[in-house]
Amino acid sequence: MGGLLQWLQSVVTLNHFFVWTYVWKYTPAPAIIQGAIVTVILSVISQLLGTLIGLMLYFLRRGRIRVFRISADAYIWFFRGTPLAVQILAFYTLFPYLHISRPLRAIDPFSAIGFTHGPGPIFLDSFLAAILALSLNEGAYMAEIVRAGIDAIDVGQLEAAKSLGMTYSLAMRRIVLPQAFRIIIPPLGNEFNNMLKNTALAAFIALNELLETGRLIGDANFASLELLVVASLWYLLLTTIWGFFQGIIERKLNASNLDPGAPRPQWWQRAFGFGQGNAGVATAVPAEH
Amino acid sequence: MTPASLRSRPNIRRAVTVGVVGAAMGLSLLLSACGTTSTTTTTGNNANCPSSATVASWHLANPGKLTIASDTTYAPAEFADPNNVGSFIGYDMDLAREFAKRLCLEPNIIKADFGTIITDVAGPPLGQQRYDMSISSFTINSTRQQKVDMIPYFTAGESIMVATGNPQHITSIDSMCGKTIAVQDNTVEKSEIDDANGTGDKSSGQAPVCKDNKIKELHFTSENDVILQVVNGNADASYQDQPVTDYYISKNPGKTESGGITVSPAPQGIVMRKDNAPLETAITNALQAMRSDGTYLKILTNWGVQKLAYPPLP
Repeated sequence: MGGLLQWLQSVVTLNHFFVWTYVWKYTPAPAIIQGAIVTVILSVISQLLGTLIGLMLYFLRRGRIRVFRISADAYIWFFRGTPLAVQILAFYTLFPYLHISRPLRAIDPFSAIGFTHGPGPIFLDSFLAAILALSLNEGAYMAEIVRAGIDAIDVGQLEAAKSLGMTYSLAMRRIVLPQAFRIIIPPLGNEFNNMLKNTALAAFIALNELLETGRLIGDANFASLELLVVASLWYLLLTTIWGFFQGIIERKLNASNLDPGAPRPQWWQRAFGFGQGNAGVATAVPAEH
Repeated sequence: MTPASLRSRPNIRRAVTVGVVGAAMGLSLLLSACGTTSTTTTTGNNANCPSSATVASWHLANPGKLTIASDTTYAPAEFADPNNVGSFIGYDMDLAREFAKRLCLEPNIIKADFGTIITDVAGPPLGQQRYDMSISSFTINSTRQQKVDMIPYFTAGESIMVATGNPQHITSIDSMCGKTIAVQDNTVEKSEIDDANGTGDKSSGQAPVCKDNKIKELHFTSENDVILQVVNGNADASYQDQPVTDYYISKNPGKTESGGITVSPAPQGIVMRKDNAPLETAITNALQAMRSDGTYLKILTNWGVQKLAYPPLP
């Protein structure tokens, strides 16, 4: 038991070498905030593109053309079967051989719009390599989520719409997709939460996003752990804000399913996502009896 | 109204509590086990070997081993043997093994990211450090000396590596302005580029000559990645220690050449904790003994870097 007590004491006295001053100093630093903004931009663009790719893949897989079906399956097989870190590194390493690294780097749109606080410029070649890898990878996962969402809608819905004279695409847009969207939203929110953190892998390719910025500042000050805490605080803040938005979107889409008498979740429940999984479920169970 | 699955939650919580307590008890057993093994330090059978009391005063990270961190991407100082990537070679590595041998310890060289080495040597409390010391081409400067002690053992200048023919005419920091330069994280070379851009902490003393036409700096944790950017044409030049530039040029003839020496040789140091004087004394004495009996110069000569000895040869 003595060993445990000694160890617990060292846990408590961590501050002998963990300098909190660095955390307070760098959490609100312009360089870190810029890194967090880059992370958000990267996540939002990649998630949007990934979702579009996922939708496209669904229709290719469900389509009549065999070659498209096989290609879509192969795409999903490949991008889900190789690590995201490998894909990011591969695109970055590939770019110079395609002679596009230098032209991209020469454009430098981020410095032009005032992103000059980080440990260096945000180069477009790193940025695009990261976007490409993140969205192509995300597309493979979104394809599965979209498939689950659309396939969950009873085929009778599509048949009924067609019997009313709707074309396949109109029935999809007006009848099936709006219902499927409600099913897709929770896992989509989950994917975006993952995306916010997966962008950290872009630190491999000299992209000054949140983690790389924190790491460079931390190593230069011999305060690596302190700056990892700073980065973590920002990732937590970003995912918390997203959880809040996700809750709003889910309640809006689920409005007709909600029990009017059910208590509205508290702000902290909405922010941290506690109890969100129960929304709509508690009333759905007795309604079936 | 409440589904059965919700009512059963307290049981789950109890199960979690039991699990946590169990894990803590297991951990304490493990820790006390570690405590008993660390007291039995083995001493070599050599008569010159230090007593077990002396070894105990070194507070080694791993009993019986001299644990040395090195960023093994920096040929010819420290790098993975191309024919056997599990073994680390280079003059720093030969020195490291010689130190362990003279201290009657087993050499335990661990590959680490250059930027995190000093933190991992000096950060944790004594006895809990990840590495006992580091030999990894650390140029001695005041920023580093605030955190660790540095025993001078070698000298190296800084130089530029460019593509053959030097198409961008990069021969100095001034001529780097506006160009793409690859550099390793947390090196003195990176500090100079940051200061030249006016974005650094001004620790290198480099004037902000590229303030208005910034150097496009590509930074990587591994020097291998830095070199790759010049070889595949992604960067106009890379900036590192001169022995490293020369080594890669000799290994890739016709692809790259030296763009010029920017900084003349300056002392590099072995990184030691400030609060582990007994080990630092032992290493300093061992280095002195290696100088006296010729081992030190022999190691440098094997790698063709004897001219960079510290103190300089007469």
